[in-house]
Amino acid sequence: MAKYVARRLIQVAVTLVVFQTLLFVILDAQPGDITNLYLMNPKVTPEARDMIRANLGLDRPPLERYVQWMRNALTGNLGVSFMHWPRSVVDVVLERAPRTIFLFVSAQLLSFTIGFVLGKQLAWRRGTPFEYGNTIIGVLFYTVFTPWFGLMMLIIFGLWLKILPVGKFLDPMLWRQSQYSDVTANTVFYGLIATGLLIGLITAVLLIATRNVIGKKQRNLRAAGLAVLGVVAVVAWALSGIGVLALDMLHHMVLPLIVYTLVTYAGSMLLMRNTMLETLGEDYVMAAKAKGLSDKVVRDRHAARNALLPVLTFLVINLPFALSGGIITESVFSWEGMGLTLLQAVQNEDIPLAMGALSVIGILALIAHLVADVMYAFLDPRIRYE
Amino acid sequence: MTTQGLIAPVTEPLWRIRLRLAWRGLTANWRLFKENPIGLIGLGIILFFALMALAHPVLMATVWETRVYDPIIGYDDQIAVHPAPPSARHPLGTDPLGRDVLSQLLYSTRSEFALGLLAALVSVVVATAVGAMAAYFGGIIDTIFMRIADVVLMLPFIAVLIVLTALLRFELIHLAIVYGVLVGFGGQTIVVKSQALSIKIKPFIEAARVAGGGHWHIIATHMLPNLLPLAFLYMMLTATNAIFAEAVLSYFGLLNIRMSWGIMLNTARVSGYLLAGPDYFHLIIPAGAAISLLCSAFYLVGRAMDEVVNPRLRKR
Amino acid sequence: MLSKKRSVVLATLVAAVALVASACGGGPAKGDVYTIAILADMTTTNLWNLLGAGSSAYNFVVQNQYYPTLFEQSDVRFDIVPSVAADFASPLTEEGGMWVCTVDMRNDVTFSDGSAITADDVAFTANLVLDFKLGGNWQSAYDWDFLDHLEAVDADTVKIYYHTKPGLAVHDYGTLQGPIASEAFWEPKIADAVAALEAADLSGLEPGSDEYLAALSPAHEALYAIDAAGEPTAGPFMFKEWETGAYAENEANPEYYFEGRVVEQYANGAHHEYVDGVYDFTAYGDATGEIELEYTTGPFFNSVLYSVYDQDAAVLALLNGDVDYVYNPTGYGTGIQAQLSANADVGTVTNPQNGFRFAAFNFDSPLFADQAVRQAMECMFDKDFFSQSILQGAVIPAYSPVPPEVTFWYNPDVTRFCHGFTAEERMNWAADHMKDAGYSWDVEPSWNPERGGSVEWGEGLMYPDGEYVEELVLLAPSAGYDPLRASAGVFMEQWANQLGIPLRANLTNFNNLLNESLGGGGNFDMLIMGWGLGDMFPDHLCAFFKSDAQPFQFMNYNNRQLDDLCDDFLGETDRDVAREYALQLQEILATDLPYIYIFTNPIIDAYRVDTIEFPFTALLDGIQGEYGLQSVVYAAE
Repeated sequence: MAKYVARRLIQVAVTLVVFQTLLFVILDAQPGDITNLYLMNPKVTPEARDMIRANLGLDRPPLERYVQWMRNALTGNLGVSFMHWPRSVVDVVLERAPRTIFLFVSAQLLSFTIGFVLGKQLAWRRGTPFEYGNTIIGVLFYTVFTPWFGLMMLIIFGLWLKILPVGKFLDPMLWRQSQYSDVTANTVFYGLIATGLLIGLITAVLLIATRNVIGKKQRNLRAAGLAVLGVVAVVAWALSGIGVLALDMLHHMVLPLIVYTLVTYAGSMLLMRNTMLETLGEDYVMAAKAKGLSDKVVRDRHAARNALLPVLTFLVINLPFALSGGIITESVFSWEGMGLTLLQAVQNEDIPLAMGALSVIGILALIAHLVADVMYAFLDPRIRYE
Repeated sequence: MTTQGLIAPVTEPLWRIRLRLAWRGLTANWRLFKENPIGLIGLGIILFFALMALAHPVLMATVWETRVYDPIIGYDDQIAVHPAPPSARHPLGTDPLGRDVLSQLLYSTRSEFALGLLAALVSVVVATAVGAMAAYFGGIIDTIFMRIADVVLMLPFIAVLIVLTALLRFELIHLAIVYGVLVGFGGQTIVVKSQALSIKIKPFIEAARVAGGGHWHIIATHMLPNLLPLAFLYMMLTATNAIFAEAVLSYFGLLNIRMSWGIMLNTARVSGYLLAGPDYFHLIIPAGAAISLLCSAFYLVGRAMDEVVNPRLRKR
Repeated sequence: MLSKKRSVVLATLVAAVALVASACGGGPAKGDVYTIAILADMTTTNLWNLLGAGSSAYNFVVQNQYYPTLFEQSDVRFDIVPSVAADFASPLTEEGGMWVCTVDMRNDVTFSDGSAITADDVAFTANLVLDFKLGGNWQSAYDWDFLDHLEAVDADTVKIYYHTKPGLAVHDYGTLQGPIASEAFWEPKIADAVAALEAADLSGLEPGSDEYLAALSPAHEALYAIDAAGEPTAGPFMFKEWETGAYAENEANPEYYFEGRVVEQYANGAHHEYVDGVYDFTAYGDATGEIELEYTTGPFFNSVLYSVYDQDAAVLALLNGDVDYVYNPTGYGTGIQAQLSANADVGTVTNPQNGFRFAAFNFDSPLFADQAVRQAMECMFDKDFFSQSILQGAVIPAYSPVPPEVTFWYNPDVTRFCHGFTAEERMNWAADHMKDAGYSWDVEPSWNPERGGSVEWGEGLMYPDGEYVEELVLLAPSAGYDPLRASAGVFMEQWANQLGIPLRANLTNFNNLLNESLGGGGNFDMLIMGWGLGDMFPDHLCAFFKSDAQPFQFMNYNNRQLDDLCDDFLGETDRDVAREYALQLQEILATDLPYIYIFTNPIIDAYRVDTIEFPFTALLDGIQGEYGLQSVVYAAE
């Protein structure tokens, strides 16, 4: 296995280089360049425009620019963004990534969890109105026109009910107050992400360690432990002095989270249902039932675990794309994150920014794929890699 | 002792037998399909849209005059203010440029259908072939295909589209093929390959190999049929996603086609009527509902066909 | 009857109350925060970058006001009036082989930190731009192709030296309106950049060549990277905070020189402005007679908050009261009024745009190089029908590249082919016109009176020499990018096809259009685009049409008469003489038709009428043209 992982890591490096080359070719192939914006202004002479191109390094031939970018990338220098010149790409990405990570990783996890739970139920209650109803509702949400749906939700919850804010990730009127003038949004984002990671990690460890516990008393104890964890987190934030700001951000996160989850949960739900049904049809399930095990045990501890495989693969592979895929949600909710940045970078031909951001996502995606493969082998002993 | 007395001679031609068996198979499958109300709903919706697609050229040739009802350059000068609300003349009203909304809706149905089916077909063919081969042969073939899948997955779809629309004259059919290829070589292959791996290690494959079956024979007759259920599911998901992707891209103005449901929504948005209240719902609801319904229908049918094709999913 | 003493006391009391009341109750109401929704975040706060690589509308909304200028254009009328200058500049005179001009400055204008704005600041800024040859928009302010250097004669007098005689565009609308930065703040910070500039080995390099520009680049990068925190500025508002991705905030500048300025614009064209006890200035006529517009300059808010929103969400935020005004430079469709109508607290203002949409001909295309064909096309395109009916009156037909609202330069009497003709008359005129030029058809276009009347399309158009005309391509924006222009393209195709001209409309994306036109690609026979014009001086009459004016003249157009007239126009320093040239140029363009002007669409602004009010709302390019009128907006009662 170790040899396999080592080999895969080498492949990751090679794939990355191939990907970046392909990307550069595609981005550069677009006719014109970022200074196209100046073409529309008759006050800007060709020489003035050429000066900007020289500033950005666009006067050199593509091959030279490509080689230089690759060489710099090896040392971690992803170049300077054209749109935000002279800020570095790393700077720009680090500024926006936390906003996207915070929202979309949470959203994907939530979507997956709901899909998982509902999918299990659908498989078990196959053929009932429950199944049909949920399938149709899920599919309708999956195919509703997202931009319009997002706006309708903003109108309903923001304009009419006035319980949720109309887009953005913070409330300027709160943040502009003088006592918060030294706090930046990213500080709070990092804090929230760290809190989430910590809670998630501890919860995962706890659940895995106690996975064989069945007794009601022990399960209640476990639930209480998790509750204590939550309370500690809340108290820590309240004492930090910027708890109000964190609350504000969470408040702003609610609606995009709900919309994104509603629009995507059906994907994992239906996949889970399918794999679950296949597993339920397996012989070992019948054997387990014949043994006299309760339905719940059969379902959750025998069938679901195996059915989980393709669905978990689905989640792990898609997780890195949380960084780039939420373009619609980000634009509708004015959530200035990586998705919008990428779209602008590609449309405006900001080659360093597009390549830098996509490379970061690319590395994460490649590693995610590797993790998924290893996980598969780990969870299904019949699959072996030499 | 000869067998002649025991077995009746076969007088029917072979093709007739095969046809009869196929027909029996079809009716049996249809019975199975019918059991599932979801599939029937989906099929009903698809038939409805198919009728819509066929209706347009008929209407344009008979009842509707081109000058008024053309979906792209039509203009109704008998009405003073556009967008006009639904009326006898225009069952779904007119859009901000004076064109009949129903005509636009019907005209776009044809291309949306073609887009969905073509994209789905391309992606399934590519993904199944590649996934099966990768799982079966393993080794370097597997590595190459999986790495290609990785690269394709990482490629930004929007960037590729923007470049292509700039370089070529891009119609919906091109979008369908590009989408199908990208999806087929990308994420779908990975999932299909995982499934194929599970199949490959099953005893019957081993048995087939021992019995002397060639590689391609095994892939084609043993692996592919077992992969079909997953393939069908993904085929329908791909059709859904392709239609949806086109709608979103057109909505954001990133495609160059003349008329589609996404373009209808974009026209409403650019003209400022997106949130203009119930009087202007006819600019949003028809196109939005059409996208939603057609995509859902493809999905529901795929789901039902899933159960037909995959014996293990059938009720016991 | 009150006793005499009592009535005197009473009268005094009443007078006192009236006096106090008039002092307190007068003037626009003040507010706390003026919130503007912007559709993208800022990208830089560095002045040099602002007009260089970082030129974006959203940077300008926040920062344009920071920098004082010697002269500015008055509101609504766009007359040139002194700002930091005390009075009009001296006329250009020749001196020792150079053209010079002297400007007297006001001696009491200060930056936000209290330091005086002197001639040294002006000279420093201009000379820095000239030395560094900063790219982008800087050259339209300080143009080194004409400007040699600026000199501070004393603290309040600046002398401008040109090595080549400048026209109105370079001098009045360029140098005299260029931004002024604080020398005291910037000089110490630019040491690295200056060192980089000096290190650049420019000897032997031809100015304007790629190597020359590449050599200058490191100096620019150093300059643009300087952190501008604490920079003293001189606008009504100054920088306070920038929370990236969310909002930026400016706060009122207590040192703003023009706070409390009263501006009076008279019906006779006169402009009168004064700040009580500071200065009083009148120009363009006597300050007598009817006053058309009178308003006071603020700032009337403590802060301006620029909140980043997506376009659709910005409208929702406006409806919800989260913002007071939406800065939307791309404008709204007419449906926005329907969208806002349900809410009585939100209002819209419609204004003409300084810009137009057009279809350009490629003079490399043999068919369109013929003036008769172009005139026939102009005739077939029914602008009134298109604007009033197809586009529902949302747009206004255009016949000249100068907007009608720029009354000084606009020519209302240009030739208009087939104006007011019916469809049948147009077809007949166009077909006859082409026949006279020698063209023929296999099947001539004819009029079919049935079914309300329509054109029977011509087929098989032939050149005078008998060759068939091959398919021609019209590039237009896609329906997704701009449905109005896409529609124009499709109709243009229809009307051309009626005449038998085999034109095919290809709807494509914006970048492609740019590359084929301004990018020099040239793969088109006709092309539909639009121009947004930056200011009121119509030098675009030459910038778009002179034969040597690449890249903005992208049609291979060569009209000798226009070229000569343009040379006269651009070199002219007398406004009235220049006007004559401008009128003639418009007539040439209207008959020779390198462009078919299609329409100009109005700018719609949306704002909350319950929280803010503007002293005037009718101006070319709308409220968004003046970035939300931040210096004069006040709180609604």
